[in-house]
Order: sequence, then C-alpha cells, then structure tokens
Amino acid sequence: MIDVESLTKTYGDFQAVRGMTFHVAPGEVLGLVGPNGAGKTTTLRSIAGIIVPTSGSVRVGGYDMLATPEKAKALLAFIPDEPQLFEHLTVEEHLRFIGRLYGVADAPARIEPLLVEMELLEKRAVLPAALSRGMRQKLAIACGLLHTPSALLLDEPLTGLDPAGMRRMKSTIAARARAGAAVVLSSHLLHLVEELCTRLLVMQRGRVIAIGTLAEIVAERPDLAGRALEDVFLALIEEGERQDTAQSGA
Amino acid sequence: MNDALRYLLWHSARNRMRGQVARLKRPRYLLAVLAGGLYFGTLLFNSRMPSPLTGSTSSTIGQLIYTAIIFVTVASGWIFGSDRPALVFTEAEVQILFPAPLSRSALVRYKVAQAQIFVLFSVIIWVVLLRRGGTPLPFWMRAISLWIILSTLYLHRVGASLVRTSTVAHGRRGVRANAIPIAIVTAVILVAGITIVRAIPAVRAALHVGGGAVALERLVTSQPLAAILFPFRLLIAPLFADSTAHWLLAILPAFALMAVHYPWVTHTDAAFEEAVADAAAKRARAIAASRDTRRRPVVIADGAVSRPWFRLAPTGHPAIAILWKNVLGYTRVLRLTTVAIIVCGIAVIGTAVYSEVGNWSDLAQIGETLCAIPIVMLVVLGPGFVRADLRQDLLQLDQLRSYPLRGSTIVMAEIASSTIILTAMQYVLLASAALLSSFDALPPVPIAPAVLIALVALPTLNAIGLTVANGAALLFPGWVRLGDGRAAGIEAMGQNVLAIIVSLVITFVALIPPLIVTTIAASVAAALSSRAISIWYFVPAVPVGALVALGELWLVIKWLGRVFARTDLAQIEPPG
Repeated sequence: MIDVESLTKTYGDFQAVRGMTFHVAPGEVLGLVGPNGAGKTTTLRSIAGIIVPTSGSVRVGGYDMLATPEKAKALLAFIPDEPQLFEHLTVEEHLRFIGRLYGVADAPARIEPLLVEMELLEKRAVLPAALSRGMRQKLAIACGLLHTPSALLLDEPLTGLDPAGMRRMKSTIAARARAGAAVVLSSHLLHLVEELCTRLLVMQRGRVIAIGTLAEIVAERPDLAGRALEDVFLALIEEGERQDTAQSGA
Repeated sequence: MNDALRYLLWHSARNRMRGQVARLKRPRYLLAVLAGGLYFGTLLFNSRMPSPLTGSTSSTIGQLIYTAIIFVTVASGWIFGSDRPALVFTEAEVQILFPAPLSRSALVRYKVAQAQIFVLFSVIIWVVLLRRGGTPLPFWMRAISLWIILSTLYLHRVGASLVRTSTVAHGRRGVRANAIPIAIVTAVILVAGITIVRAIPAVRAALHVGGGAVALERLVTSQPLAAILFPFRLLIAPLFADSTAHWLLAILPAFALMAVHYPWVTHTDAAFEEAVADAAAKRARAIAASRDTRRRPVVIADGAVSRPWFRLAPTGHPAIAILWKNVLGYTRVLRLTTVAIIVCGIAVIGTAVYSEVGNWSDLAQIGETLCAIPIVMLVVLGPGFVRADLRQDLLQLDQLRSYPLRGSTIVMAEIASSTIILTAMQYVLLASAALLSSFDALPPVPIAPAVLIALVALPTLNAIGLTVANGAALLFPGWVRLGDGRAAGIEAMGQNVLAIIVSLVITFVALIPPLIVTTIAASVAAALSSRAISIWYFVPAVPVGALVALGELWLVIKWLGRVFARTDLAQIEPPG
C-alpha cells in the first residue's frame, strides 16, 4: 500500500532524510522510532505529500505522490502531532468540510458514530478554541478517519490524550489495521510501538538503521537477544552514533 | 527597562534582522529587494518622478488634511478599537514573562519599546514617500517630526485600548476608574460631529462657487473645532515648519505631547489594577473566588456559534468546501457590534444632514458619494483587509497540502473566497448608491450603465488584487503577515503602505492588457454604430476586458498552484 524508494530530503546542506526505502502492506502497522531530529516527521510529511522529496519516490496504493498526488492523497490520512484546526469551524463543521473534500457521500451518517467514538458528541457545535488539547487531538483524528483511509500516517498519536483516550486510540489504530489499512506511526512511546506495531523502523540522523519485526532486528544482533525494546533501541542508537562518528572522522 | 527585557529586545531584533538578511540568499527575495530598492531609490533621488503620495505638505489645505486624518485615526481608535489590548503578547512572552517577577508597567514599557522597531521602519518609509512638498527642512528633521507623530499615535492607540479593555473587563467599576478619558473623548467626538454636520450647508454652498478650501479652513479654525483640533495641529506642526527656527519652536510642544502619553500608557492601567487590588483587599475571598471563575477557559455555548450561511452538501466539487470554510470563517469574525455602530452612525448622520440640507435630492447625492467612496476604497485597500484566503490558511500548509486537490485548485478556491466577500460588500454599497440615485434629480453619471459596468468590473478588479496579495504570500511567506488579520496600528503603517503600493503597481501592470482590450472594444462598438463613444459602449466592452483579465488570472493561478505544491513550510518557519 505504501512504497517508499530511496527517499531523500535535504534543507540546504542539512540532510533530514537519507535514501530511505521501505514498504508497508495493507493491515500492517509500521512503527517509526528514533531520537529527536532523526527525520521521522519529515518522512511522514513526505509520504503525505506535504513536502516534496529532494529525490526518491513515494507511492500510495500504486499512485505516485509526485505524478498523481490527488489520487494518492485521496487514499491516505495524515494526523500530525500538533492538531491543525480551523478556528472558525465547529467540530461538526470540520467533519462536514473534510467529507466534502474527500467526496464522502455518506458523511452525514458517518459523523455521529465518529463523534461518539471520539467522545466529542457533546462538543459538536463548539469551536476549537473551546476544546482542550486532547479534544483537539481527537478531532484531528476524527477528521483523518472520516473517509476510511487505506493508508494512515500518525505522528505521535497519543500526545495530549488522557489514559482512556490513549486506550481508545490504540484500539482504533488496531481496528483500522485489521480492516486493511496500512498504518505508519511515529512515537517516542516504545511500549505503544511494541504493543501496536507489526514491524519497526529505527531511524537516526535521517537514515534507516534497522527495519523488521523485533525478532528480525534482534536476530541480526544476537547480543541483544532477550532484552526489552527500550534496551534494543538504545543499543541501536549508540551503534549508529559510533558509525556516524567513525564516518565523519574518516 | 529591566536588563533582561532589554536583552530580549535587542537580541530578538538582531536575530530577526539576521533572518531577514539570510532570506536574501533566495533569488526571489533578492530580486524583490532589488526591484523595490530601485523603485524607492528612484523615488528618493529623482526629483522629476512623482511621489505616489504627492501632496503639498506646506499648504494650509495639506495641514488640514493631515490634521483631519490624525483626528479620524484617533477617534476611530476610541469608537471602533478592539476590546482586546493593543499590546499583543506572544505565546512565549505570556508563558515566560508573565510568571516572571516583572511589574505590569515593565511589561508595558517592554512592548512600547518593541513597537519602536516598527515605528522607525514606518518613519523611513514615510520620509521617502513624503520626500517633497515644498518644505526646506532636511530629511532628518522630517524624520524626527514623523517619529514624534507616529510614536504619539501609537501610544495613544495603546492608551485607548487599555482604557477600553479595563472598561469592558470591569464593567461599571471600569467606567468609574476611566471616567475622565471617557468623558473627554465622548465630549470631543460629539462636539466635533455636531459642528461638522451643522457646517455642511455652508461648505457645500462654498464648494459650488469654488471656495471649498476657504470654507473648510474657516470651519476648522473657528471654535469649538479649533480647540478640539489644537493638539492635533500641535503634533503635525514640526512637519510643516518652513525654517529650522520654526521647526525648533514647533518640535518642543509636539515632543511634550508625546512625552505625556508615555506615563499615561505605562501607568494608567497599572494604577487601575492597583485600585482594584486595594478594593479587593477588603473582600479578598470573594474577589479571589470570582477571579478563579474568570480564569477558567472560556467555553463557547452551543448557541454562540452562528449557523453556516449555506449548507455544504457532502458531494460535489471539493474546492467548494474550501470556499465554504473561508466565507463561513469570515462571517464569524465580522464584529456585529462594529456593523451596528456603522449602521447607526450612518442613520444618525443621515438624519442630521437631512435636517440641515432640507431636500431629498441633495441628501441622495451626498449618500451616493458616501457609497461610491468606500467602493473605490475597497478596490484599493480591500485586498489588504479581507484575508479569508491563503494568508489565513498558509500556517496550516500541512493540512492543505494533504488534501486530495491540485495546488492550483486550492489557490483558486482561496482567492475566490476573498473575492466573493469583497464583491458582496461592494455590491451592497452599489445597490445602495443605485437606490439613492432614484431620488437624485441630477445624478453625476447615468446610473444604469455605471451599475452594469461595476457589476462586472468590481469582481474582476478584486480578483486581480487578491491574486497579487495571495501570490505575495506564497512567494514571500517570510515577508507577508500570515494568520489572523494584517498588521494593525500606526507602528505597522509603513509596512502596510509599502505592501499597498507594491500591490497597486503590480495590479496596475496586470490591468494594462484588459484596459487596452476594453478601450478597443468600446471604440469598435462606437465606430460600428457611427456615434461618439459614451459610457454605454463600455457596457459590452468591460466583459470582454474582464475575459482577458480572467485569462491572465488563470495563467497566474496555474503557476501559483505549482508554487503552492512546492512551497515548503521551512520557508515560513525554519525546519525544526
């Protein structure tokens, strides 16, 4: 469903993403992990067609993001970590707006169940200014889910949610994946990644340093066998640092 | 000022300047600076080139105009000014400075000092734009004169805003605490309004015999208007001084006027807060409880949000959704109180003028003029004020770019949103003018063709102006103020004037082909009917010219769509 080939994004001399290649199949949940500044958000924004890659390609559902962006974007939803809402549209109007943008003919019928799912039904007629941080996040998620996307991109999806909201969010992501959506999520919460993701992609300084299931990653590093994801992650990052230092020294 | 605040001010300004200079590494910014520099350089050094704001600053009528502009600016600040403070603090300032051990006065002084950056920029712009006018003063004297005018107006706006904010926030107690400035301003505005209305017949009669300027001068130099306008004349006097000696004499009172504003701004509200605190000490618990309640997040009740003015069907062209969102958003920010004040004001002035003029035809003629002026003003200034378009939405670029729409479709929908709003305003004024013309015994132009032409020309002109404004936001996101509202206030005047002039120059260039085609079409139509050209021949010609303009816009929007698809948020904010 999502095919990323040799994706590179540079800002001046700074390489935010360096030649990333990975694929996400329908029903799969890929977890993007890495330290701050690793390039996770840049990768997600490139897949979403928000920024144009310097080189490489992104295909969603077989549609190239550069050649046929409208068709590719119609299949996906991007939910940023910082919800971007239109301050003069109410909660329900946001969903009606998104419904029209994505041509969801039965949007009016879908809105109410979605508002119930996101616990926003009572807030349907209020403006974003009257919503808490968590509610704003829920509204952004609801906007992303309204058109039942085949590919779901989530940047730190649990930010701002209360424990009940987190649990609900996790089950929503799992349910969407079971329904056949390809999901890519980035998070610093390793327990979330471990719980939800079928595969992991560890990034550092814009490049992939490991990809696969946790078992596959550990199989390549027998010294990490039996250790928790957090230990595995930190060990991979340390090794990546050493490699970078050695490269820059050479 | 506190050392830390001084440090913040200096380093922020320095880094901001560095950022602006760094932007010049991008060719489009560099080209724009070179083109702008060339234009303003020519303006400054070429004495034959007319200034865009040419006016004889030494003439009496010039002084009258400046005095009137400043009076209207100050009065409108009191009448229409926002109930929110003019001192807008950023999120970071609120989070870091407010909990810091700083007095309220220190924060106000910090903001006033920060505004000086913009005031000084405005002074430079105005010195260039008003470089001539017969005054022998060197540029630095005029710069000081302008600095005093702009700084005083800024301080006055802030003071007025603080009074309004306190009054609104504290109700009757606020009115009592600010009773003196409120009483003075109310009296001044009422007396000035009544005097002007009563003088209308005399001025109109004088205008008919070509003595309008003399009549106006007599009006403003007679009591009580002379007394009311005295501080304003004092303020602008240095700008009109005809010698260094006169300037030195005039600059001291003007400076004193500015100086008295400073303690008013930095202490009025603080004193008010202290007064409230003293009173609160007696009822500490009750006040504390009420403050806690007030500090809770404002929850907008269900009924407080106005309903959409048209229903958005779930299917159809997706661009309509953007149009719907923008127009709905604009109608929600429109302050109904402002509209109500304007309507009531027009009704009161109309009644007062009728009582003085005495016949419907003359009243209709005044009404037509009062409708025509804002129509023209909206053509020129409207694209800067109506911003329900990319200038509002570019900060949500991520969101927009993730939508399954072509870049050009999004750009077109955004521009169309503001075009519809602006045109609707003008059509209301046009309809009012047409209605009033039926009472006018001698309308200045044949109304039917004028209305037909305006119906086509206005949306075309608006679309061109708004395309220029949106194009500027896309091409130069680092220069154009994005988000809610344009830069307001005297301190941002230089920036706004610069933007208006640049937009007008580009709009004028874009209008050349449609104007040529319109003129040719009207001439051909007249030639074919073997009659002298008249306004009627422009009725079929203007749509032809509009088609040419739409063709131009289509090409530009296609190009802007490609720019939109490649615009990086990093150009607006550095990559995080």
